[in-house]
Amino acid sequence: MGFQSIEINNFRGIKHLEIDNLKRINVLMGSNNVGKSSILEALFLLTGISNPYLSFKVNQYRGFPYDYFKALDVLFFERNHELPITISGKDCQGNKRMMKISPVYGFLDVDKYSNESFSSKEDEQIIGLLSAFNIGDKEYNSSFRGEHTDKGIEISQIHPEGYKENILAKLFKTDTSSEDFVTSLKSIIENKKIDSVISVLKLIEPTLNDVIIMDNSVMVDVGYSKYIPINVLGDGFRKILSLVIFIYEYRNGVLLVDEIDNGLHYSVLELLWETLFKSANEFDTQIIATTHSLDVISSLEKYLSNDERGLYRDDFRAFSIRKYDYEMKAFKYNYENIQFALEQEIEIR
Amino acid sequence: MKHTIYVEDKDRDRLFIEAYLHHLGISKEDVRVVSAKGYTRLFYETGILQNLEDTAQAGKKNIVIFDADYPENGGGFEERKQYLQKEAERIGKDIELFLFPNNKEDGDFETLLEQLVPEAHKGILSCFESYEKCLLKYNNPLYKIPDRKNKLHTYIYTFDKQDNEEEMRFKKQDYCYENPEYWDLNAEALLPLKTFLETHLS
Repeated sequence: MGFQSIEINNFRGIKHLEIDNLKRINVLMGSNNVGKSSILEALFLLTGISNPYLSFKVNQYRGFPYDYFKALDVLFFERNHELPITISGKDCQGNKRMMKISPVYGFLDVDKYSNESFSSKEDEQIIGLLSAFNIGDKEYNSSFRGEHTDKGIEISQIHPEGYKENILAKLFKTDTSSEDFVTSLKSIIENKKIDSVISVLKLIEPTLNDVIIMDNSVMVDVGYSKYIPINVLGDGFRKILSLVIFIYEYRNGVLLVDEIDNGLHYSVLELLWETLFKSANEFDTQIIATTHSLDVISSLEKYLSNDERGLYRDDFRAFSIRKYDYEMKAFKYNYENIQFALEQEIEIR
Repeated sequence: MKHTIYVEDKDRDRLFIEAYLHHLGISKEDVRVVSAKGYTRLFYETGILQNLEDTAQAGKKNIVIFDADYPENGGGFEERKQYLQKEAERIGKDIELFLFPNNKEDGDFETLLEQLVPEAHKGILSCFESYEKCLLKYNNPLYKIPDRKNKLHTYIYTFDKQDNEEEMRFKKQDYCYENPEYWDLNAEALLPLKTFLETHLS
């Protein structure tokens, strides 16, 4: 399960963008600030379509404090909240979904609240979001709003009745918190699924026999007399391990990875692809990752150039994201297109 | 972003164009040369389409320098010009077009190259033509009659290489176009190309 296409309007720096023909493994390329992270955030919101509260989470990834109402307006294109955000897409089964996010206005500022008689419409701020969405031809609404009470700001949410989300997704950067990763690993161990993960990890560390959690730290068995902390195996292994764990945890769902090569030496990139293709296929997880590194693209082309991996070639697409003034385009590359562009030294990042 | 020149072949045309741009004093900082690997890919290959867009959006020129070819092989100056202009129109891009050898006649890159052989060495081409005629005399289907590409390849290989570097370059089909002993880059035959490049890249 995942998406085959997405359309984004009026979200962050994206006035309008369409991407189609998404596959199992997708790489979004482009220069800094072109909007690659925003595309991942839009996909994340689309999977949590019934929960506009996730907007706080996407802002948190940008460094804003959680529950920070003042940052809600930066979700809107040019901070113009008169134009609603619309994000739509088609999943791999061909089902369409669309969401329209509009602001909810009111007052949260204590001074303004206590001096209500002097407040005017111009002083209203965004105190919540309303999401009107449809899945196929069924329509739903959900919303949240903040209210000032004696105990401080409390948030009330309205969720649609009878709606259950069927696409799970995780959005993360490869410098994601270790707590997140330990929690996911605990769940895998508790569900007795660690063997599936280990069989994939053996591709990068053949001596690996076991992964456990001890005193909230991740420990590995690589054939020594004792378990050793995972940090001893180096940052690269740890990052690839966290990816595999999340791919497993979000099996049948979508993993959105920002700056996939962050912290990885170029020499391990082919191993990264081996791990991703194998585990994404094994666990049926769609991966959409961003990069602006030529090493990432070159290593991917080299990995797929091996005929033994030929069957993976059609599982993959890369998209070069371009912003021309406010017009955005996604140029779609299959394996042969990437090979051609690299050979002819065409700048595709 | 730089102006972009699209050529048909990575080794053959690209190396020549780059050497000729240098000869004209046009800086690499201002122009890049991209190979389309054949005229049918030019307006269909994703990387090229993206580059066409990037170049146009940056206010730079998209320049196409391809072979006119001959009617016998499905081309010809008018035919190729119309095809490429129609394709550019289909994708909504403006291009500046030059077809070898001189942007008005049938022919190809080799047609132009033959005209750049210095007077002092034209004898090599005559020797080759004699060899060609001699082979044809036998009318033997087992014999492969060399073509114009072979002629020019043989021409350049007639010279004793100056050094190892030159030998390596020849092996990569880089025929040292900047060496005036081998090629005359001031030849009159290059006037149409010179005018074209200076007009669009100034």
